[in-house]
Amino acid sequence: MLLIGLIAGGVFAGTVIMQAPASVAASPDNFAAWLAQPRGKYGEPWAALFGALDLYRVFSSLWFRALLAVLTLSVVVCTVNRMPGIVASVTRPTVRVPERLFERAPLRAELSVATADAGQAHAVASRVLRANRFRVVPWQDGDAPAVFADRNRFGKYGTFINHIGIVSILGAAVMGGAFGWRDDGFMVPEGSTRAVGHGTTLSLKSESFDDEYWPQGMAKDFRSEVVLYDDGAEVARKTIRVNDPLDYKGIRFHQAFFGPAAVMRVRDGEGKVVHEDGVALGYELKGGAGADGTPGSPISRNGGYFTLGRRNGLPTLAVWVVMPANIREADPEIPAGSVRLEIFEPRQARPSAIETLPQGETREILGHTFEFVRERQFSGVQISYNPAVNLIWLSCGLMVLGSMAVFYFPLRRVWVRVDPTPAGARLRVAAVTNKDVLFAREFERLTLAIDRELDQHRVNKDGAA
Amino acid sequence: MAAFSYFAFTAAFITLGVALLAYLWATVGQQKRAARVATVFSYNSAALLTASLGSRWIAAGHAPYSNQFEFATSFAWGTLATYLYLEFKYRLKSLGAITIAIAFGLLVYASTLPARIDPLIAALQNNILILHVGSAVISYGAFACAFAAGLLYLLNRNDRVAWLPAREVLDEIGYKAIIIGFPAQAMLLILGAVWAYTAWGRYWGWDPKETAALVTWLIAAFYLHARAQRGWHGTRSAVVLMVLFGAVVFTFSGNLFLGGLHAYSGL
Ligand code: HEM
Repeated sequence: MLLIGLIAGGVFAGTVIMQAPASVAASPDNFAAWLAQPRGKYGEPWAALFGALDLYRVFSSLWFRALLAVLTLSVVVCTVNRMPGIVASVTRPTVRVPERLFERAPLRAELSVATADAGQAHAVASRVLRANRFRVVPWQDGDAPAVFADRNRFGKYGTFINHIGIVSILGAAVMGGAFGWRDDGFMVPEGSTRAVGHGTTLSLKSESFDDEYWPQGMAKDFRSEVVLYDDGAEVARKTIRVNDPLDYKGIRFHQAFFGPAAVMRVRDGEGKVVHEDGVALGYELKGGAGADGTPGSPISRNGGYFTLGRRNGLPTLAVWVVMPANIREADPEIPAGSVRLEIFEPRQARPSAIETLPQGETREILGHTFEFVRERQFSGVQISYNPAVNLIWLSCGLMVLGSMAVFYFPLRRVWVRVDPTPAGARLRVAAVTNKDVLFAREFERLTLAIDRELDQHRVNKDGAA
Repeated sequence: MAAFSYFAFTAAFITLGVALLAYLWATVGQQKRAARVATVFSYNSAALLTASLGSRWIAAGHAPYSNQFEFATSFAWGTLATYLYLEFKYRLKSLGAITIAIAFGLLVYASTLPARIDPLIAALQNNILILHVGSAVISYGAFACAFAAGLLYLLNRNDRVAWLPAREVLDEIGYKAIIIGFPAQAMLLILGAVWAYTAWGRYWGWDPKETAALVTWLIAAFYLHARAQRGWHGTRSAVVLMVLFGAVVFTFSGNLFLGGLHAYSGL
């Protein structure tokens, strides 16, 4: 219980205190730089305190994981400890109770039966209980016939199903983390094909990308026509949308984002085409270094790069392609419909050449002829592989069904005892409950029903007599 | 259809206002007749609100969860529905003074928002979302009722306030509301995870809003365990119910200060 409180507190801290993005938290240097943000927001000493408690990356922190591990362990221990007791109480309930119970139980009733004998009253009580979905176990206390009755006894097992579900969700999450992988930044220009990597032999081609908007300007639909190849052979083809991924052997391809792409053709000195492909301009460049390393304009641009040739394990050239991001706001350096090429040679921090190239034109740079063939779009795809995800859904189902069994099928137990009296019989009913208005009401209904049945019994008997 | 929806909303709004006054009068003034009037008006309001949301659904061609107006109206509906269920089960009306006030407050809030029918943005075009939001409607409604029971419990110190129900009953109703809300909240989280998995290939991402909903659920779990294992009842439990509802309000209004992926739906 304390644990659940602690975890709730920890998760809450993770909600209200700003969290470092996962990509930042993963690298110590980036994280150190990122720490300036909370310092500005919370001020000292709070920022340092939160830092010391590792509250900026709660969900990847050691203490949070340790807490979850302890939670898992204690759920297991609790569940295993409770199991024998609960199983015993379900399979071997306390059928025989001492007579005192009928005097002291929180819910009790007494009916005196003048016209039926003890055996008949016993039969009536059993019939009424059975009619109310109780399981009835008759027993005998001396010369008093008695009844034990219970309902929903298997609901108790729900608590195991529930807690096993919880443990198995946590287990499946760990498994998914260990054996699964994901790629959030996979970009394929229209008409291009890119290798998926991650130890697969897959590659994905984007045939086309389309975006559509409502008249109000909100996004209506994003879709990419994609083709999946395994070892070069087509294995799947689908139009993927935001809520409709392509699934191939558990590897899922989600339409996630999009952006501009440029198709570039490059010929070497002999005029042979050495590169003809789209390049996804997936980086947003803002106010970065300008043409010659001087601080650039605050205009935002999109960029991406490709490499050419390969010598000693290094590309001979890296080509950055940059395009103005905003068509409404003219870029002072790059006219609309043109790209700027920044070409880097190995181990050089600065570009060796910078050229602005209008669409359809060619330019000779560093021994190659570059041509900006045309502008297209790229499909941004999130690729994920999680072998444990079905286990997650199964466990979630167990958890919810288990708790619903406990909540909505509460165990009900009733004892009845009929003592023969000279005048007929004395029928007593008792139930133990932890303050439950609905059960108290039902108990009342049950005793009334028994009473009524006994009445009928009397009428029938009188009628026969 | 859209015009009818708005008309029904206004009628539900007025009817619920009358119900609220009647509940207050019934509770504080111990008026049996006012209590009957309150119930009749609440049922009518619930029916009108159902008609309003239903006709909106038909008019828009998608379930009413595309903007904050629709959310506020749906949550008012959920609070009303869970309350009426509990009232029916327990025949206890004084909870109404608070729960109907919450539902009415939500409608007041809704009436300040633009009631236009928005198209669904790409990410929200998914039927799982109908169930996801539906679970939220039920769980938040149930937690609002639990809050009402807890609040009355705390108000009724030592059972001395004659016009309030017995504390024991309030304690139990709080629990009954939680056992409706807790599985519904679990479904909310799970369906959210299913949707996230369909849309982004990950079922959980510690997005602020989903995290806040998880905290809410954990607080409810805390309440259940405190009750079952430590025998927490009464005042301590009632305080947990206050905290729980605080978490619901925080989650509901979360996008105002949390940001994250849920921001685009305005919720
Ligand atoms: C986040 C973690 C947990 C969740 C969500 C959770 C959930 C629940 C729920 C929904 C119930 C009520 C229904 C039922 O009985 O199954 C419950 C009861 C219970 N849980 Fe947990 N549980 C968690 C952790 C634990 C831990 C760590 C323990 C052991 C220390 C534990 C022991 C119990 C016990 C003893 C009951 C009482 C059942 C009864 O007699 O009514 N649970 N839990």
